[in-house]
Parts: sequence; structure tokens; C-alpha cells
Amino acid sequence: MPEPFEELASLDRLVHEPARLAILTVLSACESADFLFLQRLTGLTKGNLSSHLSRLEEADLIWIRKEFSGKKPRTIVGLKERGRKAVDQHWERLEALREDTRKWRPVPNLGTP
Amino acid sequence: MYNLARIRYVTRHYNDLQGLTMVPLALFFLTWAGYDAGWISPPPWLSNEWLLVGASATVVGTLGYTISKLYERAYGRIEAAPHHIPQSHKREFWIWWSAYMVAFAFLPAVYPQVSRLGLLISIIIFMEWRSRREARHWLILALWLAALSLVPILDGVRGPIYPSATVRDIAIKLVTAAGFLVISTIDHLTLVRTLGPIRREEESRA
Repeated sequence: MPEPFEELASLDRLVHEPARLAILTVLSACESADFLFLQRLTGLTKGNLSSHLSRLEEADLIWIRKEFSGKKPRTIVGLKERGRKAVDQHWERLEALREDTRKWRPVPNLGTP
Repeated sequence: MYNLARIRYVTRHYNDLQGLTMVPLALFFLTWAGYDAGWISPPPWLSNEWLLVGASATVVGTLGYTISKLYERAYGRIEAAPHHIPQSHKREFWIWWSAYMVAFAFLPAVYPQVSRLGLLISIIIFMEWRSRREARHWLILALWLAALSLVPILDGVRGPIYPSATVRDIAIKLVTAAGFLVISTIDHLTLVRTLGPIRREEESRA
């Protein structure tokens, strides 16, 4: 496999999945966000969002806290230091990849065999 | 597909983008202009100036808080990250702040026709823009108000620009009210474009 594709294939899929990347990007831009905000921003269903959050929590990238606002339960989510590093590194790699792909040139057609 | 740049912007400035919370402030300036112009008058029990100011501040604050709660119920809540302002930005901030304060303190002393109120509102709006550079509509309003406040300096050239200080202040208050309505709409629409229309809270917050 050519080098740039190897690099693409080696991206951390846990972070690279679009919905999880959106969640981590949101959390990297604030201290914490509640479940409703994440749901509205990502457009995911409750079940889907819960499942993505569980995966990120299992990977120790985020923390989840339950609390009550009056009588209503609220789920607050924040990024752990490990998660912040993971998402920052991921964006750096994507940026580097983008720069690399700009240097690509089409292979000249040497004629039919 | 997600527009991650917009997601970042909305998350960073979620609380600032709750545009409708500014509508009571716009109505306050509109009412103030109307009061100055004699179009409306407060009820007799509010004839004391300080009582009027206190009542207005309470009404504006309460309405703003209620609207922010509506946003919270529709879109949820975030705890904003602390601002990390680079050293160069801090220096730039102090240069701008000093320049504005000099203008605020000295210009009206030299040119009494210059509006202190307009300059003050302009400074506050300008500083809000400094913390959110993408929001150019805030900068435009700040510059408009600064220009309206400073334009009487040219009074000597072709006679007075404003017939009187009252007319000048009414103009500034009306422009502030209209400007607040426009920028609050722009901010609100940015939020709606990213988070979807305001609707009743989901059945539960999970």
C-alpha cells in the first residue's frame, strides 16, 4: 500500500468515526456539555449518542456525570486529558495528511501496453 | 456531514450566540429614545429617575434571564472553556482600551457636541467583538455608533450636524436599538443553522 494510504488506514477509528469526532471536537471547545447540547449539535438519536458516549467512556477519553437540575436528570460530559490529546493529535494528523495530498501529482500516462 | 469549523465556533461562543436575550435591551433603548422624544411617558409612580432606571434594569435582566432559560431548555447547556488570550492580543487589547478611554475622557471635554453615551456603548460593543473576532456585525455596529458619536466634531464645517444634543442622543439610542435587533437576529440564526430550530425539550435529557 502506498505511504499516504497506509497513513490513512492507520488513523484511530475510535476517534475518526464522524459522529465521535464531532462529539470530541465539541468537547475540546468547552469544559463540559450536557447530553441535550451534544444531541442537538450532532443530530444523533438518544440511543446512538448514548452508545457513542459509552464507547468513548470505555476508551477513557471522556468522563460522564449524572446530576439533577431540580427534578430533571442531566447528563454532563467532559473531555479527559487523554481525550484532549487524542483529538488534538488526530486533527494534526488530518492536517498533515491534507498537506501531503496537495503535493500529489497524477502519474503520467505512458501509453497503453 | 458535519461542518466542524462551525461546530467549534458555536460551542466556543454558545452563550454569546443566544441572540434573543438581547431583544429586551434593544427594546429598552427604543423605549428610552421614545421617552426622550416625548412619544411615551412613564406612569406617575415611576416619575423618579432612579426608580425608572432600577425598574428598567430589573425588567431587562429578568426577560434576558428567562430567554436564556428557553435556550437552555431547547439546546442544553455547556460550561465554556476559560479563554486563553495570547500575550500579543493582551497588549493589543490595552492599546485599544487606552485609545478608547482617551477618546471617551477628552473628546467630549474639547468638543461638547460629542456623545459620551454613544462612545460608551460603542466601546462595550467593540470589546465584545474583540472576544469574538468572527462576529464582524458587532464591529460594524461599534464603528457606526462611534461615527455617529464623533461626527459632531465636524460641526464647524457646514453648521451643526444635529439640531440639538437631544436629537443626537435619540438618534444614537435608535441606532443602538436597531443595531441590537439586527445583531441579535444574526447570532440567533447562526445558532439555529447549527443546532436546528427551537422546539420543545426532548422527552428527557437521558
